Amino acid sequence: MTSSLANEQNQYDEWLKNKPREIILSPKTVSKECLVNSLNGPLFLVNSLNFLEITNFDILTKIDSKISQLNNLTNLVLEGNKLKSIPGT
Amino acid sequence: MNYIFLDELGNLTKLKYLNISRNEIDSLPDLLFEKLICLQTLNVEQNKLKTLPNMSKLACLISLKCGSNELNQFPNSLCEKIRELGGSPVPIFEGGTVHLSEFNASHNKIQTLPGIIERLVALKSLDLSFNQIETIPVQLANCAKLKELNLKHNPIKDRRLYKMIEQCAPKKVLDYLRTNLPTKNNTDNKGEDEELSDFRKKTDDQDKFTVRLQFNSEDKFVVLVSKLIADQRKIAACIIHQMDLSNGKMLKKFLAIQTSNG
Repeated sequence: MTSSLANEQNQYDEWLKNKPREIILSPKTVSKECLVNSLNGPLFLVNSLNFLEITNFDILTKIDSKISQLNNLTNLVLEGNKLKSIPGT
Repeated sequence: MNYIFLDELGNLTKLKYLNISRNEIDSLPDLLFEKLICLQTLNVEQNKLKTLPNMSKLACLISLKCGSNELNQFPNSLCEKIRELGGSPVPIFEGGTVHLSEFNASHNKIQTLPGIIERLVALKSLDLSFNQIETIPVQLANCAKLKELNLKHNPIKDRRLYKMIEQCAPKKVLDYLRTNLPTKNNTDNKGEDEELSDFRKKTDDQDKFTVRLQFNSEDKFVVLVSKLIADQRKIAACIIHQMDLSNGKMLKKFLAIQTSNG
């Protein structure tokens, strides 16, 4: 991981620890690598989250099932990614 | 290949707004909407969906956008659970997605609309353009709040209706449908239908452009037109024979019937 990417990741992780109510992620605001790392765990620990927007990532085809832990979510936007459906688990 | 666990979204019971548009989703889990009872806005536009799961429990749904998919059926689950409460002088509906106000299913492959669409009593905006719809149920006229109606680019069989639709005249379309709504008194309506059927049998081969004014009772004036006239544009002029308008009341009714229904 490059130093700039490491810095970005650290800043992002610190921000998540503040339990924000809104998270908006797009290629304009965060790198793909940072997004992938976030979706592997830390994001879904922010159970204070009301608004989550992840848009226009062509690499985004998977989100962890832990999204169901965000039980205070009122607005979810996953527009413009590469998501596909699967049979029920 | 990685996928989103869409059925896990069904556990987000406080969700009010869900937008999964512009992806490559070809199906949604059957029970996705079972628990999303707070959902107000749902946007699944621009995916590859052929059907939608049961949405009858989305009691708070106000806006549904499912355009630009591959839907081959109207989502009947929107209407099926809506019921009219009896015992009220004014019709009151409850259940299902009774609050649905905006519905866009343009650019799909829908072929038929169900008559029960009339149960969507809160519907203000309906866009079903660019589908494969051939007939519009007259019951659509019962959606009293409908102000924005787009049915363009459908293979509507009724030529007159088709022209009204292409001219973007929602009020005219609904008025036209309303004239064909069955009346509550089924006996009277049945009599008129039989009369019209008999009339058309006599006129279709003989006088092709025929209008008959028939005064059935003191309060009822019936206009019978041959099928060819019904499919034409409005009549510009008409010469009437053997009509006694010396009675002032009759003259008044005759003049009124010319301006009714546009």
